[in-house]
Amino acid sequence: VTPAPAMTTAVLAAIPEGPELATVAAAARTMAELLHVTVTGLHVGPSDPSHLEELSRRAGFPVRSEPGDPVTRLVAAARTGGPVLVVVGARSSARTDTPVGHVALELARRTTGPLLVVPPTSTLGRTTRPDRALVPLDDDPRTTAQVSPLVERLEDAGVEIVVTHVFDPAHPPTTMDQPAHAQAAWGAEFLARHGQGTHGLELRRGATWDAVLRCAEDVTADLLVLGWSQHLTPGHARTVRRALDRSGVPVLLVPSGAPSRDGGP
Amino acid sequence: MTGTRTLDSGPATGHPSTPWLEAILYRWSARPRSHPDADDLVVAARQVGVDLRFVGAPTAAGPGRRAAASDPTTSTSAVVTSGAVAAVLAELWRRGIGGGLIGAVGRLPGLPPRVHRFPGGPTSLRAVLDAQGELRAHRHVPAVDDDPAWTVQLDGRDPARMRVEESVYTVADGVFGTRGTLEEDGPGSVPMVVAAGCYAEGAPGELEGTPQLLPGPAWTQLDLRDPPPRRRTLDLRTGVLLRESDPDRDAEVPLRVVRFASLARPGTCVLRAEGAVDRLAAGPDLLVPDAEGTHVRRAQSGWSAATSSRRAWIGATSTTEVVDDDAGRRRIDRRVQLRRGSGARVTTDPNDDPPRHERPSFAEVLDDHRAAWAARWETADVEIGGDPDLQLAVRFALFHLMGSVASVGEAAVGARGLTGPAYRGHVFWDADVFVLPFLAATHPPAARAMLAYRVARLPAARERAVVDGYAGARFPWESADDGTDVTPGSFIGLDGRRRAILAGSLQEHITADVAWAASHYLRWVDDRAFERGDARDLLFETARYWRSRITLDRSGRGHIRGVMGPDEYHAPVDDDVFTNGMASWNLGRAATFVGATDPPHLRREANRWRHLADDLVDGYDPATGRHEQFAGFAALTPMRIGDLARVPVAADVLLGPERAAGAQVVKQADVLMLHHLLPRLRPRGSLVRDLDHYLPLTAHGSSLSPGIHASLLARVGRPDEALPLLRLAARIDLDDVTGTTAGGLHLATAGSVWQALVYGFLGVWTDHHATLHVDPHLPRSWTSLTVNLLFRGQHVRLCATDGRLEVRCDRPLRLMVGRRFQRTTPPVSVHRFGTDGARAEGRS
Repeated sequence: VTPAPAMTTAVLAAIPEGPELATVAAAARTMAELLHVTVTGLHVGPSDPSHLEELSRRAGFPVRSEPGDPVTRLVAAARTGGPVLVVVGARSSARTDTPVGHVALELARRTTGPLLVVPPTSTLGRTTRPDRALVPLDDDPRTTAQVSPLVERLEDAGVEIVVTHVFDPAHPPTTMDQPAHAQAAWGAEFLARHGQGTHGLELRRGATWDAVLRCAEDVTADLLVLGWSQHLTPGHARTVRRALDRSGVPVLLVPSGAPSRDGGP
Repeated sequence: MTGTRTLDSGPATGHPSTPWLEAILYRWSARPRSHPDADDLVVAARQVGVDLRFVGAPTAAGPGRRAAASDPTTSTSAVVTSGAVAAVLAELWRRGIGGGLIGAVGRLPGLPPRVHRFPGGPTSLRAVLDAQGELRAHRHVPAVDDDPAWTVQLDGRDPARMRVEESVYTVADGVFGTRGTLEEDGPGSVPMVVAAGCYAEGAPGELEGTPQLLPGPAWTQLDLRDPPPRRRTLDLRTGVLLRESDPDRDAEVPLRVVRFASLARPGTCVLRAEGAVDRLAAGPDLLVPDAEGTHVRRAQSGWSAATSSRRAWIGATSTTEVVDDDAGRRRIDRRVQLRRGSGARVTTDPNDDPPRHERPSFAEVLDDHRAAWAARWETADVEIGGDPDLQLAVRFALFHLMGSVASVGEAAVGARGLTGPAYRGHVFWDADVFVLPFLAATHPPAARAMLAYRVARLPAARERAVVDGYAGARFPWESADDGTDVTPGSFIGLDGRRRAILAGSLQEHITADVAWAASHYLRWVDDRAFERGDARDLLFETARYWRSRITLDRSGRGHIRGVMGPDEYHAPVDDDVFTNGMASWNLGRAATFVGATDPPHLRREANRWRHLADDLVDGYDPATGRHEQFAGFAALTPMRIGDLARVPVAADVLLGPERAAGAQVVKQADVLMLHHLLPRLRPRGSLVRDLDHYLPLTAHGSSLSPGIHASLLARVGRPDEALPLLRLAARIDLDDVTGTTAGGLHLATAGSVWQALVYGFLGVWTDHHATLHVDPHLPRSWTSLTVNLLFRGQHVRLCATDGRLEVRCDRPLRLMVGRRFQRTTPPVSVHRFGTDGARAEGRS
């Protein structure tokens, strides 16, 4: 096995030991293919050549290993290698009532680039390619700017982008004169401001953390793209937490770029 | 035809400190020897293109008589008149020339602050004329009077507001509307030219393919290199949109573009641009949307283009002239003639346009256009003393109301007028109940055109009633060209599920609303022909509908079951107060149109209408002194929406439609809307009780709501409480409160603003006896409220200040101030108000 090279414009997959390896690796391969970049894996554990060879064979791409704490090593690799995307498994258990695992959560909190969290139930790259991605936007141009580069790359790769906006209880619209016409008018302007070139807008109401996942099911999205601030303190990022815990499709987290205050190395 | 010619250059540098003047006032003293020859000055002014006015000289022997007499064509420029300053200023004002475009040479008394003052005598006058001549040698785009009370200037720095600005900056002539798209267009822009009543088939799948406005050929595009920011000025006074580059940035050759849609000649659109040759080019004259049914061809005298659907077409012919000078400056003049028609066959012929040499000049078209706007403002302006921000917002609302409705033929007034594609140009009750009253009281021909639209669709309304199993005529909730109901049947709700739209089948009150509009028009306009003809048809057929629609219970009480009132959160409901109240009024009002000379069967029918009107349940509960919005409303879950969210709020979105339907939360005025439309029919005292009860329940989730509540609050003597709601309504588009202004302006909300000011704060109402009732209630922060109206053919100007009402009218007026009849003595009479404790509530 040739040691994986230092990564630039590559997808870095956090390669686990267990059965979820196949799920993570399939998602990583697919995303690399979509983004036209290479893919490498990092396994945090003993660097037994034969074991690495086995992991690489199972993953379908080169895997290197580093000893130490998984979170520390993966965060360091993600920061120093400059991958366009890090891919990690959401949890080891396939049970949907199991919350997202510690490694994924910490990576989400501490990586500065996009992170794809792959649930065990994901079929991405195994039986499906991502046909449709759901992108929730909150009418804040900063959020749109945050996710736009990656979303545009996905769209260029042929992924259908569906935008959703949720009127949550804290931000209801002021008026809704005739709902059909008003939603059409509101949505047309929202798309013009935030989602040109996308394949439609899904408007929802209710708690965002709940409505987004329901919408993902409604539109049969293969991928959920969330911009977020990396604040996991209580009261923050409920949608991200919910998505990581409950989403049946991979969640692509796009941080705002600034490391969280408590997420330093 | 686009052609370029080259002229000698003017001065190489601009004169940024020289103001553009349209008129100059000069005090002519009685010592003619101290003056140069007046006729020379007149000639000089005419050559410059400035209107020179001598003040203080006798007309017959005044200066300039020879020059004026020698050239009778100079009726609108460089004309000499004599008289007092105020009279001259008023005459200029009637031509749309405000103080900022006027210069005054010498000491003149009574000049408004915006007039440019120049000291000195005849020498100074000559210098001012020379400076104007020099200015016009290199500047051809006229200025607008940037009076902050009359001009909308959005800074244009927020890219997200581009489309909002396009709506705000729409120029329209009542028939055609051109959105305020930037000349260079660009990504994200929604350029659009629309024509009232011209529809195309909607795209399948979107709003169920209901008709949408047909986009016509766009005519405002230019090729601009390094275009300046979006800073523009919309002069509400004259309907002119001006774009100017930053003078600090482009001091040498600034870019200026002016455009307008001639109100005097609907269909005629004008664009003039000037700038550096290397930055400004004409581009294509006309652009058609990328769709089927478009036609572009070169005509004998220019370009022609048309868009068409199976329903209608919009055609345009254009000529563009480009003139360069050898100093690197370019001027572009574009003249466009828009036409429209029904049916798929485009019948416009560009060669019908008159030859170029027979067409009025740019200056003539502009003069006529300004004068037309000035004439409209003369009988429509509302002045609010002490609230400049609201003043501008109100004029903005009135401007677009005036620009969106034709004065001849029939006027299909869509929810967003001629300002954008939202609501597809569909005609709702917004037109009849919110927009028409303003026009009936300020420009009756436009109100009549709106009624003509309904009258022409009476056959379709009759057919609808038959289909539904009723008699008479039932008007559609949403209407387009053929008068059938174009309300979409369903939409995707905010839960992602398809939901039925019940308004089309249940909002039957539209039928009475149309009848109300006809009756309301007749209160303001002495139109006997309409009263004896079309109005009877409208009133009778709608009354027949209600008679067949109402069911009687065993006790003989009438009910209307299974409807939706203006409060769309609850439906279907039985005995909605607004629907029943309007139906009852419709029956009773129709009966008043039947007289002793009518045939017996009609008299018998009218008697049945009267009885049914009396028997229809009205929801009034004597125990509470209030109305119950519909049967069972009081049993719903009590809710004060203000405790849950800051209003205005779309409560159905906040709570979900099911929860909203189960709660005492109201979308918009419903019981109160009935008070608004029929203030004299309700039991005395119920307005205040209903207001106090329903206002806390109201989410104002409709843009129609705040203005109506403001009106009612003011009417009952709570103007300070009303003011925030009025302000909200007035700024709904300037602030994009709803997030949908990009799709067009809320025309009905604009109408509600006028109604709040006139019916509410000024307490104006009219009765069937041609009496004008006035009962002002002004907020503490206002110093005055002045309203201009056309009441039964005469211009009436009402000015209310602290307890004092000044009435200007041409002939004696039946006037009631508060509860007292007042004698008016034209031209001006002064009355006291507020001293007898009179309240509009419960007037009798």
